[in-house]
Amino acid sequence: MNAFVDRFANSSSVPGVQMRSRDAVPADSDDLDNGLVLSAWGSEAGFGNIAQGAPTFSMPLVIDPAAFLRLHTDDHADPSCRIKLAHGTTTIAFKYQGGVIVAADARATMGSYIGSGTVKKIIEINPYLLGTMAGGGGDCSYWETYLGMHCRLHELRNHERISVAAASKYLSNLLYSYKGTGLSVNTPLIFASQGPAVYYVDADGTRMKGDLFSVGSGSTFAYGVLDQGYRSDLSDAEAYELARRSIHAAGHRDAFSGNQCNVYHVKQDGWTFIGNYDLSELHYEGVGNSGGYGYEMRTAGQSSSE
Amino acid sequence: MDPSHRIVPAAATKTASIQDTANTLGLHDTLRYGPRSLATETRTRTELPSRLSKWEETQDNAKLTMLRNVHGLHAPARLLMERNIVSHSPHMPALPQTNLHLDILMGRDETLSPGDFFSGMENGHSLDIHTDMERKLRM
Repeated sequence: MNAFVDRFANSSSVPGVQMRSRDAVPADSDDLDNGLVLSAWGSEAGFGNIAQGAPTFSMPLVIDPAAFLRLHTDDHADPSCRIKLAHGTTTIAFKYQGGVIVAADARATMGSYIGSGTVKKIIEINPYLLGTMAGGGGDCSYWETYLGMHCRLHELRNHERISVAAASKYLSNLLYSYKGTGLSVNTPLIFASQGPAVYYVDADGTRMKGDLFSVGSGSTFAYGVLDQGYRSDLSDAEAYELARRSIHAAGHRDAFSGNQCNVYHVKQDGWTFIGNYDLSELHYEGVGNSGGYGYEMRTAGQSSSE
Repeated sequence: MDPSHRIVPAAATKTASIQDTANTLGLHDTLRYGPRSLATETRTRTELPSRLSKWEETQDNAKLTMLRNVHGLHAPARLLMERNIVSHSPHMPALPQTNLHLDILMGRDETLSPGDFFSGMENGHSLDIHTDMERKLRM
């Protein structure tokens, strides 16, 4: 009954100030608390439209919204497009005897403009699950937050932590239902958790398990270093060094990656943040007493011309 | 629906959502509803299907809004409450369901329409009596 009264409470035909959000409880359910609207009480906890369950996205009123989006945001097809999404990245994750190492650079480019050099591309979904951001940063962080909510719900329902296989399956199913809409701007992600396990999840619906992955525009450079240095019996220090060197190589050569490098280590009981390194410092000085990573530093004095 | 004097449904805003087919996990339920592609759904929908499906509701809303403006809040509230009471069917969700009282209240007891002969074709045989009963009893 409250719903009927609320519906016609304003006397004019213009729906004036209403406490109800657009997609709240439908008016013809007669639950006792359908007058209570979550947004009015501020209990969305900062999650915005995710708090009401599966989110609804308005699309532009054109015949083909995905093509419309691509027309305005696809930097490859048309460099003079008006909307430059923040992307361009190098992220790596590899599995070894001591767990999983996840590392990423920190540069965000929009077209040819460097938007930021301090982006956190490794998203901490919960204390034992990490996802990385590659491709469109907004889409990645939004959907990974959504995934984090559902991982927690899984934990509460089943009294045990969600496995990384299940979490990545969840995410790949979710991205598959939006496949082709252009909502996910090709967001490859890497999952790492206790297990240890690394999964690559893509907006096309790809989901692959592997030992090491590198994703992003600088991934080819990172793969070069990673492949030559990877062994499954690395020690912790060697693994951190390998991660830093891979990201440095990608940041050095790829225009869309660089600035800083963040390294995380995922162990049985959760992840720990290892460190944030500036790539130019790594290039010229390196870490600790190892020399600089750059070519000139490593080969100083070895050439006959010096 | 919001109170409005519109007699013709407005063009629907395009939305992409898996809310209507989502299960408790928050994902599209492929087992129950089959594969689904939001991309094709948002691409090719003209406004005709939504206009036709919201026709009766829009007309009804216009009449209720006019009642509210002329007679006051009680007029639409009573009508809607009566319809609500009458919709509580005591039967199991078996297939042909006719609600004569609701037809009388909605003013279609003396008319014949294709819906009277072809009812039940949209949803067909429901595969799951349990969810139907759940949905019914939760009301």
